[in-house]
Amino acid sequence: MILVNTDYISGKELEMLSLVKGSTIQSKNIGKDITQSFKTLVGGELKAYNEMMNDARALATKRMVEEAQALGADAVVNIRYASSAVMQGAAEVIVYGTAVKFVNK
Amino acid sequence: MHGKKMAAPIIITVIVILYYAVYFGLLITLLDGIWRVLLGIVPVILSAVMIKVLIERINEIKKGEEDDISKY
Repeated sequence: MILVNTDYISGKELEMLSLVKGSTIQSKNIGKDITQSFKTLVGGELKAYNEMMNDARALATKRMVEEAQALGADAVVNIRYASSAVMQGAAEVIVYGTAVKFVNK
Repeated sequence: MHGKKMAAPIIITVIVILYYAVYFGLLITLLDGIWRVLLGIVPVILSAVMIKVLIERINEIKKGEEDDISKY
């Protein structure tokens, strides 16, 4: 499955199928929350939250790809990511794009 | 260059640990027996976490991971 953030794929003619999306809401355990809040006192990268967001993006992408595969898509174009805080220590990541099929393969 | 960056985290850690020591130390004087022990453990744990994140920060500074955008 080809994933791109452009609205075209070089050398391919595309037939649009549908909007596809994937999302997830993730949080870390309270131990990590406390450790990371201490980290804000000294500064630097919040590795645990960084990991959490990377995992969230990967899972949301996987769910979007599953939706695209169910439609028989060859690729997803125009992919966009968005995130927001749902509650203290929990973030939602949503990824969406347009599932397409290649024409004249 | 690294020395300057390390100063603030170290000073903050020392201040925070001293704060816990004084605050919980005063609280402990009001209690007896097992409650003294239980309350005494709290600043130890918090100080340990504080030292852990300080070490993490110092290692980050030494590694120099921050990127200089003028490279690109």
